Parts: sequence; structure tokens; C-alpha cells
Amino acid sequence: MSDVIFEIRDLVKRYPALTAIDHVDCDIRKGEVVFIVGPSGSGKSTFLRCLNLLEKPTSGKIFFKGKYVTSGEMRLNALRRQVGMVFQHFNLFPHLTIHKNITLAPVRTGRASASEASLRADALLERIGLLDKRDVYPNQLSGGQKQRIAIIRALAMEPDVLLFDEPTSALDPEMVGEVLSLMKDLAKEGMTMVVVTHEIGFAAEVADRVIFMDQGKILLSGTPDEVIHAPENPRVKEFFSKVL
Amino acid sequence: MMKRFFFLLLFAAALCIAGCGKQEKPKLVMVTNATFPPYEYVANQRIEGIDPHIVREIASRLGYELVIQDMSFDAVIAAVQSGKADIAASGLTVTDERKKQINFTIPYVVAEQVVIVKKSSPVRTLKDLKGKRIGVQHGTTGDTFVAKNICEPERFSTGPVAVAALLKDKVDVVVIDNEPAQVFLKQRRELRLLKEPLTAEEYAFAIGKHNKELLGRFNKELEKMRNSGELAGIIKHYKDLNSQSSPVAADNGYWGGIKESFKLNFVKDKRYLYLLNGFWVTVKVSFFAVLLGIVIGFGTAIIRSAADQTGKFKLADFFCRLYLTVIRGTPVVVQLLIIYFVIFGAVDVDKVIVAIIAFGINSGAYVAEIIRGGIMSIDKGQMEAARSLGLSYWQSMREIILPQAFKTALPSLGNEFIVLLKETSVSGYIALQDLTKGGDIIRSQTYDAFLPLLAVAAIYLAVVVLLGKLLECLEKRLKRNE
Repeated sequence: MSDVIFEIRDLVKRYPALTAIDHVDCDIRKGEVVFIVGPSGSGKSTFLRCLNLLEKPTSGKIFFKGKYVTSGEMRLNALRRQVGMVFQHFNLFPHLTIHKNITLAPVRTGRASASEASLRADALLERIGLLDKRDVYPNQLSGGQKQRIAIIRALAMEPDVLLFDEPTSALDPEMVGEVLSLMKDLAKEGMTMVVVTHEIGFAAEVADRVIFMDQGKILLSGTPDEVIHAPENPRVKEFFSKVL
Repeated sequence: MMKRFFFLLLFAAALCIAGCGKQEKPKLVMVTNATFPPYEYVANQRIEGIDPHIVREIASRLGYELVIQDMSFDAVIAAVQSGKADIAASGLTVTDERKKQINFTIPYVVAEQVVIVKKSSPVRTLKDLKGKRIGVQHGTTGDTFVAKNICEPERFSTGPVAVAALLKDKVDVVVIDNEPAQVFLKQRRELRLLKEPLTAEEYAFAIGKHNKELLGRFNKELEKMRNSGELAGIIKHYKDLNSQSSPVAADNGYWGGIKESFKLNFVKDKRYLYLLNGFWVTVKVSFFAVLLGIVIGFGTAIIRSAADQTGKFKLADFFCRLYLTVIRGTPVVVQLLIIYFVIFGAVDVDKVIVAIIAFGINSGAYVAEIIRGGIMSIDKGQMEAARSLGLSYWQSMREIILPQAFKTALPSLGNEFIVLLKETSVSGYIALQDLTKGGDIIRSQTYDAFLPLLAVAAIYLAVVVLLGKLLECLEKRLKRNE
């Protein structure tokens, strides 16, 4: 059990007009790279956002490393410190320098001292080749640079798992590569990742497991081969015939 | 001579309650409206005249130290009634309406309401008044008499303003008490008086109904002064003093006139001091009111936003909404008067502090909505990103949302500060001598509207322009970060 990061049991998220997540069960194991794919409006992003409780589930249970988080057994902020998230629109803080963007949360949450956080931020910036940007403001960066900064901002909290919510959807095509390559490196290093994406080719290359969601339900879950290349479910087959 | 119904009705109930807390001190607080020569007027930065002289004399005989407060005329009776002051001495005419609110001392003078016109006017007798535009000082018995018996008068805040309006042909005649009328006639040669007085009446001092003991002792001394002839001496002294005042600006051509007028309005008797001191009061009140407004405004905006976003703080949110509704739904003058007469009705607080509190509370409501608008304009991804990093709601608010909201809101905030600065010009309602009131005092002494008003306007303008520049610099500095 100790290698299970997330246990999701009978999760439901209902809005007044629709049911976004319809009784979903799922486990995410340590070191696993899970891609969630499916048509738009299928509930992928909502599912991801439920994992760090940016959306409050209507019913069902979520356990994080064995702790029952939806019951309040674990404090919300404590959960989020261990679950990093990368957004479609980066959401860097425009009024803070890149360096401050990265160090703010570790310092304010007591995760690291100011000097530790600073050193770690510089090391992360150096790793992605953007150390020269440490003192500029986000608006002076390209989309690809912003998203890579957003990823290392999440990494600076040393999370147990990283959630990616369509990380390349808002990028110009020539910038997608640099972001995917960073994600691939992280996957190789054994980072636990849950990725919602439309980049099916990338999913096929990097994923340990692919989950196909439709209308709030998990239709199929398995290796990339099982889900993407030879799906038996006709709905899934139809989807991939359109996007591949 | 005077009455002022509406404010009295407005405050009557509250004042009755507020009036119970007066402390026993060897101080006697007298209130007046010092724009009524020779009864009371400001000269050499002091309040002088018949009324202050008599009351000071009697106070000292009774063993009190006299404290004189200048306020708007419509407030003097309320002040006595509420116990904020012990005695009102403001050329008050004895009327039945007023007797319901306060007790009058024995009368110390019999006065007439007379009619002033320009020499060139066709008005010769009281019969000619029909259909004419009649100017009065708001709340005076002249006001009441004209409204009841002739027509709706045009009401001015002070006698000198009414006379200035007459000189500019804004009204055809001015109805005013005989004594000040004599002073005006001496000073402006182009004026004359109708022979017949409009009405005659008695002046007395007003003392609160709760204060029968003071009334008795005061009447006794007043009686003594009347019998000894002292009273008549004092009255004659001030009448003579005021009729010696030099007439305004002889006609020496336009520029010569301006030069004369400048000397008269600003240089003579160091009158520029009214503007200078008023300016400092305005700056002080505005500055601290802005600070208070920012504190209240940010607090309110944060509570309201937090209630919207988290669904908590329902009760606090309710009070914030109530605050916003009441403050934005009522005029700032009324708020100022309520805070002065009702909230601080029974306590002696510096008027500058009263004004700071009133304008700060008022401004806070507008600042709150400006900041809330700023908070709402920030992309919700910012809050989500901050929360996803494990920052608490309040940390996210402080570190991420508010700095950005402040930057977005800065132009509107700057505008609010400019509005606030100018709104403090109603401070005169509680007799705080701010810049506008300083100009008013000069006008009441020189009967010249042009230069004092222009000077006051120019000073406000200069401060606003300077403030605008400072805000521009701040905006630029914040923009550099992008």
C-alpha cells in the first residue's frame, strides 16, 4: 500500500447542470506516469482538479498516501504542498520576479529557509537553462519559458506528485517541444505525474498508463498500446482515429 | 431672530439622548455663528462682538472660564439642546418655536428686521417688495417672516453672502437684522435702507432646558448689567467700532480695484492667515482621512471578497454590505453632522479628529468597492496557482492578489483621493476652519466674493494637480515591473 499515492473511490462531481465526474475509481502509484485523454468536456480536467481539491468533490473518497483527504483528516494546505500543479495558462505571478515566483511558496509555507529556497531555485533555473532570467518579470518571457518556469515552481515545493492540466494547449507549436522534453526528463527521473493532454503521440511515448475518459466515466485504462493503438471499445477507437 | 426647523427635527431625538453626559467643569461653553457683526464676528483671529463680550463678563462674574465655539447658525440651538454647549449667544431672536427647544434668558436688545436695497433700486416702501427676489440668511427670523408673509426667499449661508448677492444683482433686496445692516451700509456706499422696518423682535441668549439653575444665575447678572447701564455701553461700543470700518475699494479702474481688493482681502489684518491655517486643516483632514479610508476600504473589500469566494464570514459580510449601503446612500455632509452631533454628541473631541473620522469612514466605502473591483479583475488562475502551491487563502490574498489588485485599482483610487480632498470643503458645517471656511470668513469681513473664492479655488487646484502628479509617478513605478 505504501507505494500508492492516490486512491480514488467512487468519486462524483456534480454541477447544477451536469455531472462532470460520474462514479470514478482509480489508483495512482508512486513513480507512475499516468496520462488522461478523451474528448473535450469528458471531465478530465475536473478529475485532475479534484485531486488537489481545487474542485470540491460532491461525493466519494480520495486518499493521499493513505490519508483520507476528503474527510478533512489531512489539512488542505498540507495536501497541496505535496501535490504540485501545472496549469494550461501557466499562472505565473506577474508582479514578482521569476526567482520570487519560485521561492515564494517554499519560504512562506516553511518548506525551506530563504537561502535554501534561493539556492534550489537557481539550481532548477540552471537545469532548464533560464538562470539568466532569474530577475526578470514573467511578461518578458515566451510561453514555453513561462510554462517551464511554472513546472519548476511546482518542483521547488518538492512534491510527491505533479498534476499537469493541458500544459501545452496554450502554447505556440514551436514552443511545445521544450515543455514536453522537460516533462519527459521528469518522467525518466521517476516523478509521479498525472497529465491531462491532447498530445496523444507524447502520451504514447511517455505514459506508463493511459486513462480514457468520456462523459465523466473511465472507459478504458491500460498501457499505451492497449488504449491508444489497439482499443477494443468502439468509442475509444473512433476518438483516436480522429486525433491521430 | 432666527429659526431652523429641519435640522432640529432631524437631530432632535438623537440629541436629546446624546445630551446627558456633560461633565461638571468650571468651564462655560458658548456657541455662536461669528458672521453677524456687531453681535459676533471674527477679528484678528478672535471671536468678538456684543454677545461674546456680555457672556464673557457674566461668565467671569459667575466664576466660569468661557470657551467660545464658532459653528454654523443652524447648529447653535441644537448644540445647546444636546448639551454640547451651555449657552448659545448668536443674535438669537425670541420665538415660540425656539422656546419649545430651549429656554431664553431675558432679552438684552430689541432688534428690527430691515430691508436693504441698492441705491438705484426702484423699491421704496415695503409694498414694493411684492414680486421681488428677496435674499435672507438661511434660518434667520427674516427668513421665516418673508417666507410666511411675502414669498419664498433666496437663502444664503451668511448675511455678508446675501449682501454680496445683492451687490451682484442676484437678488433685488436683502432682509436682515438692523444692526448688521447698519454696518453693511457704512461699508458699501451703493446701498440704502428702507425707512420702515419689516418687523421688530427681541434678542436673548439660549440655555438648555435641563439647565434651569444656570438660567437663573445668568438672568440675575444680566439684569444687574442692564440696570447699571453696562449693557447699553457694551452695545454702543461695538456698534461704533463697526461703523468705523473703512469702506471697501473706491473705484480706481479695474486693475487698481483688483490691487486694492487684494490688499483688503489678504494683506489687511493678516487675512491670508485664514487661508494658510485653513489649508493646513484641509491637508491634515484629507491626509489622515485617506489613510483611514484605505484601512477601512481594504478591510471591507477583503471581507467581501473572501465571503464571495469561500462562502464564509456571512455575518461580517452582512455588516460590510450594510456599511456600504448606508455610507454610499447618504450625503457626506449629513454623515459629518451625525458623527459630530450624535456619535460624539456628549464627548468633547477635537473637530479635526471628528472630520478625519467622518471623511475616513465615508471614503472607506468607496475605496472598498474600488479595491473589490480590483480583486475581482485578477484572473482566478492566480488564486488557484497560489493555493495549489500550498499557500493559505490569506497568504495568497496578501502576496498574490492584493498587490495586483492595488495596481489595477490605482487610477480609480487616485480619483477617489481627489474627490475626498474636495469633499472636505464641507467641514465648515461643523465649524471646522478648513480652507473653504477660511475663504468664507474673509468674505464675511470684506463682502467681496471674487478674490477669496478665486484664491480658495486656486489652492485646491494646486493641491489636486500635485496629488495627480504623485499618483502618476507611483503608477509608473509599479508599471516598471512588467
